[in-house]
Amino acid sequence: MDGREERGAGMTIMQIGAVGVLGALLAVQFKASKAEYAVYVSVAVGIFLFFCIVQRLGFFVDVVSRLKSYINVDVAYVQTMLKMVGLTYIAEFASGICKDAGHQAIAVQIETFCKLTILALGMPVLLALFEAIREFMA
Amino acid sequence: MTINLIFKIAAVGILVSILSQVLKHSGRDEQAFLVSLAGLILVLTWILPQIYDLFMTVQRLFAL
Repeated sequence: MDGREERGAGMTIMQIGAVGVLGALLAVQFKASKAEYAVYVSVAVGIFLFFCIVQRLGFFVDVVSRLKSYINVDVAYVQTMLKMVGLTYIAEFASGICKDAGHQAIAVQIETFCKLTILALGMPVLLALFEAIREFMA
Repeated sequence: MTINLIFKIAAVGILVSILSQVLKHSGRDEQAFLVSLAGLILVLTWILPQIYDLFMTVQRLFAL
């Protein structure tokens, strides 16, 4: 748990690019003989890059939660938007790994589930909108 | 999750590949299979906690 803050600390775009390309080349090397190691290498590189993303995202989420107090928007809406972003990211990551491993069908299922969940998350907002419109008209 | 993990996985992959080739050529097919299986399990025990970490972090970050 102590190493968590150190993960991906202070990575520049050059280093990120280098790590990504290096990982891809390593994975290509394994694709011929031991295809499963190619998948594991690409998963490991993906997770490593994700922890670098989290470093950058930390500031952003902080700013958003501070903006919530300035803007007169219901907190729930910003929270919902943030959840949708997180959902999309996880679904894309998982479906990307499945596609890389050659299983498009599983990837499609993951993406469909993600789309439906986002739709389900957005339904209350839509209903609230229609309620507001109805109250306006009445 | 440092960059060393990626190199460790690659190293295990290369090692397993070489070992299983050598064993197959000397006719011990079952041992070759066991070696590749062992390598697979080892790499999985490295990767699975990281995947778990990933999902927990996303859940925590986006308040899912």
